[in-house]
Amino acid sequence: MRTGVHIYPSVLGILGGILLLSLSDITPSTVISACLLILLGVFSSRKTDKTFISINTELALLQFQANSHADAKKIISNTDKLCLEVFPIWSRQIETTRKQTETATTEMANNFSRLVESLSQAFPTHEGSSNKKDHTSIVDTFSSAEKALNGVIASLQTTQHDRAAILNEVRMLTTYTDELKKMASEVDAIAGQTNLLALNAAIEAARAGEAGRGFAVVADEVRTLSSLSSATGKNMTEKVNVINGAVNGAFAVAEKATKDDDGMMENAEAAIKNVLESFTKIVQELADSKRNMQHEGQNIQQEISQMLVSLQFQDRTSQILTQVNQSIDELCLTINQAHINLQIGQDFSDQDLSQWLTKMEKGYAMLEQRTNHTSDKKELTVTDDITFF
Amino acid sequence: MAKTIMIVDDSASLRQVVSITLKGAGYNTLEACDGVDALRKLAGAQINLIISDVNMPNMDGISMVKEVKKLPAHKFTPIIMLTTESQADKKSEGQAAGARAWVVKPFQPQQMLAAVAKLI
Repeated sequence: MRTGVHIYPSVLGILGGILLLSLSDITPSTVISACLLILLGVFSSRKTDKTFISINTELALLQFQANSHADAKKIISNTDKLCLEVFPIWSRQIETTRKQTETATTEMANNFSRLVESLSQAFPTHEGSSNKKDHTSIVDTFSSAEKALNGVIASLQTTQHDRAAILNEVRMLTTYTDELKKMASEVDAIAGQTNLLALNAAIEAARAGEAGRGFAVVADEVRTLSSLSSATGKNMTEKVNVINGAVNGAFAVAEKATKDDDGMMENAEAAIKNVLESFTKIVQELADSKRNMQHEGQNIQQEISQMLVSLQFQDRTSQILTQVNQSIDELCLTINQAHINLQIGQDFSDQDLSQWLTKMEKGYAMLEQRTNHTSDKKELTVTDDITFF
Repeated sequence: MAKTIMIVDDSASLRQVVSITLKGAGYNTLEACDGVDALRKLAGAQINLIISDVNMPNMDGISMVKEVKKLPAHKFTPIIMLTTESQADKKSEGQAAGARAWVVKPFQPQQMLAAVAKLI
């Protein structure tokens, strides 16, 4: 086309020059005009040539662009198909992962709940717990037992003191028996003296003869009485000796019993002291054990709190995955719609892109999602936050 | 008598976590998986406090709070919103609906118990 077109102005210029020379008189002005026409034709031919080259270049470029656009459309169409195939697969993969994580976390939370319940029974940390009651009960029982045993010891000691007092009284009795023996001896001596007096009186009565007969009878009776008194005195001495022997025997037995009791008391006191010390040790060990258990319980409580916080992250990841899934589904719909719109010459504009991203951003609930959306690389720290209205 | 707290959340694991926290402090709990389930279970129930998520299927937490405030028996029942949402406009929505507190997940058990004790 280029070779056919670019010579037309030259031919026209030459023909114009020849026509001018043939139709007009050959004058210098006519010759110059013909030459000018020929030169103009040749110049125009060159100009046209350049213009055609430019137009051809433009046409070639347009043709190339058209071909490229068609190729690009074909490529875009294929990648769209790939996306439409792949996105639902990704969506299902994400949903499966989300569900499995949620199921596992829920199961873990259930197990954890049972574990916490068991631990709360093993390591009670609250006031009024059964363990505290048990401990209080043990301390109270121990205290009551200690008081009761001390009361028994006090009673035994009182009994021991009373018995000592009785022994003292019995010891005093032995001194009385000596006095009684002495008194019985004195009675015997008085009886002997009386007998002598009665004997003298009988002698004097015999000297007096008939007049002393009655007096002799009296003297005889006095002698009889003195004999009886002497016998009674002797009898009293014997009885006092018997009583004295019995009292001394009883005193010896009582004294031995008191010594035995003293030994028994010492043994009993030592035994009770040992028992109380053992109990004190046990109660102390129980108290230490309880303190350790409470300390362990507090540690476990802290661990539980931390685990309760950690378990909540499943909810956060689940929300992020759900949102990603929804966005993938919406993206598939958007691509399908964009295909339909492209058929009627409506391309997916920058405004559509901006609106789509804005809509996706509105679906975010968490700070992490918004930060990720803006590709903000700063480290996120999830902090607890409570607002009261 | 132990007080009863309703936990409304579509995440079973989160409900379990809140339940463990509250039961450990001596509260009874009642669980619901969304706003509709919560309103159904509230009928005739003696509930002292409600802890609810915001984003849930069927009926979201804000809508549920509005409905609860219409119930004569639960008009004054305090409600704590427990959510991953931390945007100020969402909090304002919750406040306008009638919620008493806004707790952002993940919550610290001791702080949650302190908030419950303050409102119950």
